[in-house]
Amino acid sequence: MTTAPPLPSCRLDALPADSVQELIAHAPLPPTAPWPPQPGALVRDPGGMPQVLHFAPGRWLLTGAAAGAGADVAAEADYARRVDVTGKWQAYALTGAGAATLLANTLSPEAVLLGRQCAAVSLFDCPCVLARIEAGFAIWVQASYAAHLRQLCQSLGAQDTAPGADALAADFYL
Amino acid sequence: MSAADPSMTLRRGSRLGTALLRFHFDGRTYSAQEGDTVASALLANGVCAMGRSMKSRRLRGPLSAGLEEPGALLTVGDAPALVPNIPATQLRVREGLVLRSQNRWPSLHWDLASVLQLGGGLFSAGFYYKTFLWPSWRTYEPLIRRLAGLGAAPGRSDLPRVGAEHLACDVLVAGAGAAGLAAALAAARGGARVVLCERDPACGGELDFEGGQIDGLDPRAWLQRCLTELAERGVRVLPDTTLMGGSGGRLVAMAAPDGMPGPGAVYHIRPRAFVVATGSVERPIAFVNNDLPGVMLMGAAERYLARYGAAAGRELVLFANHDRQYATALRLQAAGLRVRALVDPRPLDHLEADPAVRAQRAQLQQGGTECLVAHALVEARGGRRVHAACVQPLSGGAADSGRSRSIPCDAILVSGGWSPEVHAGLHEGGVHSFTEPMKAFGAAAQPAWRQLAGACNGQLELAAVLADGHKAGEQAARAVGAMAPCGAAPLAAGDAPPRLVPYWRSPAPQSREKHQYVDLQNDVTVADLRQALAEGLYDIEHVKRYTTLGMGTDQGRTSAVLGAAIFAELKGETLPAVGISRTRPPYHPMPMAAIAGLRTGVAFRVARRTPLHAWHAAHGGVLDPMGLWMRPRYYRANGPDAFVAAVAEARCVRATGGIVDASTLGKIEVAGPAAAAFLDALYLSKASTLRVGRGKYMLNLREDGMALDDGLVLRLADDRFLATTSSGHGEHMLSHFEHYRDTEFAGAALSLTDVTDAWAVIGVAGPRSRAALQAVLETPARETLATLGHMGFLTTDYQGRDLRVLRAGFSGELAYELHCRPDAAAALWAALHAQGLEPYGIDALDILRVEKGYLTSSEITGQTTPLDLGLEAMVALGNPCVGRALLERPAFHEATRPRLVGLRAADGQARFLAGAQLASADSPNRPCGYVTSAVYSPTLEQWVGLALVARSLATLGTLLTARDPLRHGDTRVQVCSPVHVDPAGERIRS
Repeated sequence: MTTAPPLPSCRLDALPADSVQELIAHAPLPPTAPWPPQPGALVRDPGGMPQVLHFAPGRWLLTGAAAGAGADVAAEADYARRVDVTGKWQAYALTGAGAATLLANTLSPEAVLLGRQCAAVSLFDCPCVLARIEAGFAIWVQASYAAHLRQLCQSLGAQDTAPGADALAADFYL
Repeated sequence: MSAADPSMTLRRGSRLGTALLRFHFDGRTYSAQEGDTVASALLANGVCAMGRSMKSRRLRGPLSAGLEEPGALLTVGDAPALVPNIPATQLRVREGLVLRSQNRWPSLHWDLASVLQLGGGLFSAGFYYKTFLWPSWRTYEPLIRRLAGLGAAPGRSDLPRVGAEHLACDVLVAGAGAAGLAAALAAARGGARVVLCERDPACGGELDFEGGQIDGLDPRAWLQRCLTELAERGVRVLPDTTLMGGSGGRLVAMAAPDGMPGPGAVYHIRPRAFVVATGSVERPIAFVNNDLPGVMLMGAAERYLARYGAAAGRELVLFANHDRQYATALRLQAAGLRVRALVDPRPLDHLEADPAVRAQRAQLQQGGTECLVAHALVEARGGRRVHAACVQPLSGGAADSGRSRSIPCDAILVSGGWSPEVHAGLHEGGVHSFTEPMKAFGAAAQPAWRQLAGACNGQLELAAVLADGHKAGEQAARAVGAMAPCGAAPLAAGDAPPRLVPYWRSPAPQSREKHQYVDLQNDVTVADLRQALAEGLYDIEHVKRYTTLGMGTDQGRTSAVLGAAIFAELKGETLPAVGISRTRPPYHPMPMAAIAGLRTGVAFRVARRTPLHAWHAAHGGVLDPMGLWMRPRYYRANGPDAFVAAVAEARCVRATGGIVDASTLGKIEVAGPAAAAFLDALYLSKASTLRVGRGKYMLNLREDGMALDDGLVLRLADDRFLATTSSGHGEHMLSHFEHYRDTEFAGAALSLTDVTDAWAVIGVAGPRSRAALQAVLETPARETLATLGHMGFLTTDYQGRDLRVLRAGFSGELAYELHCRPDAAAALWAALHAQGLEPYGIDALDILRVEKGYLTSSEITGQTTPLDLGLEAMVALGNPCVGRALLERPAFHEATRPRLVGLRAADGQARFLAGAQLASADSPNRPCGYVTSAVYSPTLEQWVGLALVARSLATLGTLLTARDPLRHGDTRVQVCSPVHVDPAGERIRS
């Protein structure tokens, strides 16, 4: 099979996902809760990377510092439970002029992120959380699906700089 | 690259560039200009015949100038990677393009099979139901199959992989003719985000040659101004893109740059409003030999001339049942072509009623064109192309054959009116409705989000088309909340109304109706329709299937209405009463590669990988897809094939120990004050009685009492549990849990989290498992392990990462499940391996489980209750969970219900396989159950299995026959306990 027509360039870089938690609300958030209340909203770190993502109604993804220090678990217990899901998600940045075009092979990022900054989506049948970042998109994909997602992105022309990229490419085209 | 040929005179046309190209057709090289279609280039080269018909192998030239082409279909490329059935009318010439005509051998003009034409009615409607019966259809089938079909199927595809683009917009406009442009302009002015798709490479439709003015401008000038404004307003125009179909609010369009499917993209468009402005298709009139090369639709001839400077012929005869032929004839004459005659079947008084037509007729007559009113063109004469038209005067609807005469010509341009292109207006429950002005079928009332506009909405005058388009665009904008002013509709004056009078076929003796072609792609003639009627096929849908009218690549675009109308005439009914056959997506053939998109090869479906995937691959693991997961079946080092390796691996586990990757187990963390009550409601036994630090084997029921899934539930904290599910059921069980959280437990303080990928699971099993694990773990976990009881677990860490050690396993051995973070899994696995524990695969795991009588998905089938599975003790606990009440149904306690039993070969040696049907001696031909699982047990050195058998026969020692006629024949087996190995459980508790 010949490859697809070349897309505008884009690249896939691994993002740190050393510590990740999910916060699941089982009651309305109190006004004092530090989490963005609107589904689709997020809080960014000083570098502009998403740190707290309200990716589905009543579900937040807490990454980096938000997943660790200073959690007032006792106060949260009234309205939510926090689950350490480190290892569940792998994070990538898909950036470059062709990033949106690449994603359009599986969904319309424009439509999905219309009026919101993040969303739980299926990218090439892989469960993901998608968020806009300055140069493109941040993607959290469930770890067991990550190889498949990366192979699809590679096959569509994304330059994959994350560890193991060559092995994935070789495996895909066998 | 193209090379200019200075000797060639450049043609002028709205779609032509000046670069010269060369292409090859049937081995000969031809010149073309940039922008030419293959049909226009061949016509310009004087080539009229481009293919042969499917059944009677008659020569065919282009009838149309678009996607609706029934006859001029070509094969692109060479075998095996060829692409058949590409319309020459749509395919644009590229330098070096290699093309072949179809349905001929050895050449287009000398085709052996065309001799079959001599058979006349040999290939009449339904011939294959009635002929070739002696001695057998099979005798003729190979030859018929060679002759049948359109073109040759490719042996392989070298089409580029087709990408997809999902896009959303406020308003999608399909069709960029006058109506579509007006609609897009209005919607964009109103503030809507607009996507405009057009199947042609350029926008404008008939504005290329339309007379009159729009907003005081020549239509070509207005078109340019319109396109500029659309670009300024951010309208996305998708040229060369055909709308194929859609459902559920999603419309699928395919781009075919240069008219060649493949290199473009498939668009999945989700508009909030949809304007269908796909125009209309001109239809022919049936007369004798109306399929000869040189017979062409009138509008097509205008397109070839205006767009490509290519003439359908030099000496023309026009035949139409409407006024447009007079304006067309004048334009053709002005372009230097000689119009020999106009043939109009309408009476003189009808024509005289319109002064404009009267003037046009007079002008033509002054120019030497014969205008034959109340005449019919009854026959085209010629061989490889038309050389004369035979006309007769009409009198009271009948032809006067005595006054027949022949007019020399090299092309006959015919038009029987237009049929609305309402394919896109029929999706999702749309139905046809007869539209009187066009004497054809449009689409009935549309849903609020979809509107028809222009010719497909029954409008044929330019001013009305533009106004209709503007109105539809404005309404679409308003429907999506775009409220800016849309401006006024373009004002236009174009060709006069056509004043169409229905005229479907010229008179002909019944013996010649077999040469009056209705469907040129499938060689369906008036005689075929008459025959279908005579044989009792009264419904047009049945007629379609019997005669193949309207089938094929063109889907009856030029033939469906004509065929229905002639059938109505034969039947003595009106056209609306007969109706028209229903259309279905796709609108035009799509390559399978376009439908598959990215889902080919390895990417056909998702392959989930465990954190140990790389280790398995690097160490000879044979990875197979199981559900969505890639799992190692066995390791090559342990044997040359799956059977030998799996037996060796299972033997090793029982003898010393082994490790297995069980990361695929579904894992759901259930947390919150209501967690225990929630799990109590969903499992047959209670979770609330579990102590923190303990686990339990538990079973879920469906609402109807059938077993749903099983797994272990661990109590991590007072208000936190981990429920594991079988590997293939993780998502389903999460969905099941969420359903009950949102319904029966709505508002409860409860959270569910899928943590399947957050924890790798390593199964450690066998007599040495504890020692190996102690060697790997550090204190204090090492000491705790020594006292850890069955179903107890401890929480520790491994190399600083979370680790949970559960004393349990699914192998019937002293075993542990290690739940660790994925990034620590490989190191932990390697450490255990270094302790002498060999990895084993899923096949070995199956052996171990069946030996022990543990359930798998082969037993939990959705048709077995816990009582069937021998879990009465669990039922007896009386926990009122989901499905529990229905276990009391009398039917679940009848003797015919299945019962899980063990099986062994009666002679202790023979082999039997899962799936074999079980029969008793009393009823040898009636199954009383079946073998659910069967393995070779290395421990017992014989085949053992599990089976579901009627309870009346489920007593130990019963002899049955395992019947497996397709694979293994009959085997005598004996019912035994399902627990084949270690029935006392000593190994597990050791």
